[in-house]
Amino acid sequence: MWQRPDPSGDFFLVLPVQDKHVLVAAVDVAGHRSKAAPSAIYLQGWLRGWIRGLAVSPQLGALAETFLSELKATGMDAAWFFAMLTLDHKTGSMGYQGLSHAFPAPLLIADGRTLEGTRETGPHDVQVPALSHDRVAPPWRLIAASDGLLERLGAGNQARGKQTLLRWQIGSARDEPPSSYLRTEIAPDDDEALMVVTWNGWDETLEFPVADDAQRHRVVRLVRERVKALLGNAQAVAVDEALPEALENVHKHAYGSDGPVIVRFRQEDQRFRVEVADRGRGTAVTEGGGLKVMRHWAGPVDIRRAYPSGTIVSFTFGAQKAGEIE
Amino acid sequence: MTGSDRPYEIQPPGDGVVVTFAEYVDHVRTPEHDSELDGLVESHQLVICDLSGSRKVTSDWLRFLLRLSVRAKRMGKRVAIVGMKENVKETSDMIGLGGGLDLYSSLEEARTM
Repeated sequence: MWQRPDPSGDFFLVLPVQDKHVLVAAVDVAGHRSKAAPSAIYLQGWLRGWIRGLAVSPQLGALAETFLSELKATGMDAAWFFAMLTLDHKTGSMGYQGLSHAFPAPLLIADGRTLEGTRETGPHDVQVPALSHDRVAPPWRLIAASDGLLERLGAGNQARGKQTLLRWQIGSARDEPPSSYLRTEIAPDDDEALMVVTWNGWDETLEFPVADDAQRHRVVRLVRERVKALLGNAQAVAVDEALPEALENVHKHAYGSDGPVIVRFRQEDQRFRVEVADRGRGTAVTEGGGLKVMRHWAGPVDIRRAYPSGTIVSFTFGAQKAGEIE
Repeated sequence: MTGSDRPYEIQPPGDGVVVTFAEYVDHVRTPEHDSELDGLVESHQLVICDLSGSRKVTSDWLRFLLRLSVRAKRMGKRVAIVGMKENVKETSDMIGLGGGLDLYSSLEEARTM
């Protein structure tokens, strides 16, 4: 989450509900700074209390109705967005329901694609069914930004601000903290706040010195065997071709010698996702032979900056036929 | 099995020195490797790199083999690559080394050409 340090009527909450639900809430109380801040504090407490008082499975529609009643009873005015995430611990996927009231519709990005993140209601209409996705596979990220922030990003135009936000959140800088992208020293025109909820769902994360041949071989063998069991021998060969190139790039370009490399992977539906991260100089990938080989055998290669330093390279086996050039 | 301790073994010189590469040549290439193989090119008329057992050779090692080969040619010598598998050849072509390596199907062929 990122928010200006000034008192504000904006707040975000990410709260576990019972054993498999998570409530995501974004609320923007009408008014500015210290006039709106006490209402925001009250509503945070109200939401926590609503969750604690639940005796049955949470219903987003019921929350919306009760919340609106509370606003009416207290004379407060607020824009809000609620999402209920239902986690499937077995597959790592989630069910999603989103509903908003005058709050800018958030972005839901799953596996690099944008899904519709919410359904906006009219001012007095919360009976519209919430937008839902039954099964969103990791990696996904849910991004909610206040109107003030979108206006800032879009130079006064919220729609343009949303496009900027989308480009940032699917681009190579998406893992950097908002504070490195959003400068707080600029005087705010309005409340500005951003929340990013992400889930990567890795099956395993392995860290080792990249120059240690025995460890490199162990990890390549482990990934190959997993891929072979899921996708067959052709994709296992693709692992042998692509993964060592990624590791060698870390050795040669990120560190110039030895340094830690992190290999993460997870099994998806008939696909196998692998990510190779380093903490080096941020130049682990150049348009050279290694990247060509990775693309040839594993298909599209996603490259992004790591924080505070380094590069993250990821590719997916089974997304396309091994050896097929994108 | 993935990878040996060493990326290659040097066979005792007979009719041309033979460097037998491992099943997976994805090791870190060190200055010691470079000087050892450079030294072979310096001291032998023919260096045979046997890749017939190699399922994977990284682009870094392939580029180094090309460098050895070019160096040998400049000295009027030869580096012969034997038994390169199709997927390794595919990688070699992909990174633009296609025509630069002298490829042979067997040790005998490499010795007699």
